[in-house]
Amino acid sequence: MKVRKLLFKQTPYLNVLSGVAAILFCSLILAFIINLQKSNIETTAPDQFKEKNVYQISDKLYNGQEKLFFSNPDSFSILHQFGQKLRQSNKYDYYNAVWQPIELADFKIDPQFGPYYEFGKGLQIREFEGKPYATVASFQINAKVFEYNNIGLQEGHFFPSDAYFFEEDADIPILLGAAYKGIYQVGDHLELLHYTRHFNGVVTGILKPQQRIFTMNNPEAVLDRSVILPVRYFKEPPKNTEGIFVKASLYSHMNGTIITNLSPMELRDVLKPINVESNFEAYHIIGAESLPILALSKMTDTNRLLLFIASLTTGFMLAGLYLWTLSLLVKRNIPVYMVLLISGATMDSIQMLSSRRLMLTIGIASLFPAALLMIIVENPLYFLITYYVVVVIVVLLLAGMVKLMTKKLFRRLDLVQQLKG
Amino acid sequence: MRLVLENVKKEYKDTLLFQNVQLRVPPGEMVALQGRSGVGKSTLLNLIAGLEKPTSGEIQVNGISLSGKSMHELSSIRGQEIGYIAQNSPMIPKLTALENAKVPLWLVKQTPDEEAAAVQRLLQFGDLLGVAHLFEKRIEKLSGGEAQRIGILRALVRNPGLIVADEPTSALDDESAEQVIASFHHIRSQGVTIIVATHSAQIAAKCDKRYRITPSGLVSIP
Ligand SMILES: Nc1ncnc2c1ncn2[C@@H]1O[C@H](COP(=O)(O)OP(=O)(O)O)[C@@H](O)[C@H]1O
Ligand SMILES: [Mg+2]
Repeated sequence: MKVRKLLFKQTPYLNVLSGVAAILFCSLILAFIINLQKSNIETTAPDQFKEKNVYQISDKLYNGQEKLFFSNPDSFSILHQFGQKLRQSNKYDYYNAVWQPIELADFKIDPQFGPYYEFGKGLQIREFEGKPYATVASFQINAKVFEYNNIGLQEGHFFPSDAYFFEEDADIPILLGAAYKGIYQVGDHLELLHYTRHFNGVVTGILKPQQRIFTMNNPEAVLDRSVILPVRYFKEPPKNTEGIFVKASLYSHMNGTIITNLSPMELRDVLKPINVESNFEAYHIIGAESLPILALSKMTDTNRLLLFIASLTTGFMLAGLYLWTLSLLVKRNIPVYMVLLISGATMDSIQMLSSRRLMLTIGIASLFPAALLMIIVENPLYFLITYYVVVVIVVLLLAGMVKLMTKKLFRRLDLVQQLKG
Repeated sequence: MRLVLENVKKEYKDTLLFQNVQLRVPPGEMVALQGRSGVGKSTLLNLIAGLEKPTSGEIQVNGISLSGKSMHELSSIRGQEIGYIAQNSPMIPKLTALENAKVPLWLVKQTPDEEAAAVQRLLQFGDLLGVAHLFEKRIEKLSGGEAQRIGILRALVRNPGLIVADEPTSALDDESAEQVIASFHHIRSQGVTIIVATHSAQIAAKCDKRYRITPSGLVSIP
């Protein structure tokens, strides 16, 4: 014990330097693990979109155009036909992920489910036919969304295949984000207002935490606090067009996303007959270039590679720095070793002292990033375990190297020979 | 006998350094090992101190045979029975003179009584060697002769019966060398056996016996 203290006192700066190198090294390991884990999540969604072009269909019915269009008695039917032909084409994938809040009856008040919770807004509640309804965040998605995003359930089942068509009196199947767990259960019946029209719904499943989907506004929309409904397409042009429900639904059905290998020109040609047949021209196609998705998937790819290369090189540099400080320490401590040797220590025990020092420094150094992790990460256990597994492996590797190094160093130093003068 | 060498032989690889080395040193005697440079004086002292092993032959220190002992056992014998003084006694720069002299105590478990006795011994020998007033100084601040005398104190701290000294004055000026030689004289008078490798006629003259090392054994010098 006293000897170790002595060694520290002998070379305080070098000891601090090797400690800092060890802390940096451990922090790097931690950062690497966290980033690797994170970029894994980030790339699952965009992966499916890779090599594909993504286009957004958008209507032009704003300002005066809308009024003009709906003055035509066939307008609903035209909009319906256009949307139907659009999604029925087999030349591309038609992807519909609509972010549109809905209202839930008798909601157990929890402001985190409000659509603008992130912006600090509380729940908006209103009376409808004698019941309180709260506005909550919601996505309406079609079957393609499940194909393009890996969505996992922790309970229940996905939407049945007939869920994607509008039936006046049918219960709407509902999937709930993970944050709803414990609030509602699979099988619960919910009353809801969708574009202010009343429907009955039934919970069919609850998603795993941190499920994400691609949407036009957010390439990685998190579903945790959302109610997910199927997009329900009309089979026939709806007769009852009262209120905003039909109009808004028709809009959202045709403002979808096209995922395809087609170039913009090719897509234009493919869509041409559709708008001719349905007699609807008031739309435009927003090209892939303007979308964040490809950039994101490319970025995470290069990021990962960069991250990997950067951490590998810094890792080697830090390990090198650490070993270098250690060899300096050994050299600076030669007089100490000499004194110990003539005073009754063996070369082996002196060598062991140097090796143990590595364990001690890295052991202590590894605590700093771990403490930081406990503070900044919500659920650190997974990271903590992975981190220490990696740290132990790296320390064992380093310990092997240090042992070899000190052995070589001591053989070269040959203290017994040096004693002879 | 404090030290017995019986037919000791040392060779490195295939080159013979010396053989047929016989020596018996009773307690309290001071013996000089002489011989030209490279003949094997330091090596013989290292064998006695258990820092190296002889090719063959028998070495006994204080009745303890070093034959067949592991390096680990040899080192604990060295700590307990032998004080080693090098040509330039290595010192730990950041420590005081007293702390340097106490280093051997840190390698063993000591009862407070033993520790107190050791400190007492340091004070007593410190007075004797004229360095007690330097104890609280940083070792770097001491002159070569003063530091060498601290090295002697360190060799004595665990109260060994045998002191092994390898050219202890060769790096010192005449005056410092005088002080070191006087120190040896003092500790020998306390019953400590000293075996010293030296070129110095000054030291050799003070010794009870003088031997020249040759490849075929020790030759007594009258
Ligand atoms: N470990 C060793 N390996 C090979 N040769 C050695 C070793 N140690 C010493 N020698 C050789 O043994 C001889 C005696 O060395 P040493 O004992 O230092 O002599 P001295 O102290 O009398 O000057 C030298 O020639 C030296 O080169
Ligand atoms: Mg020599």
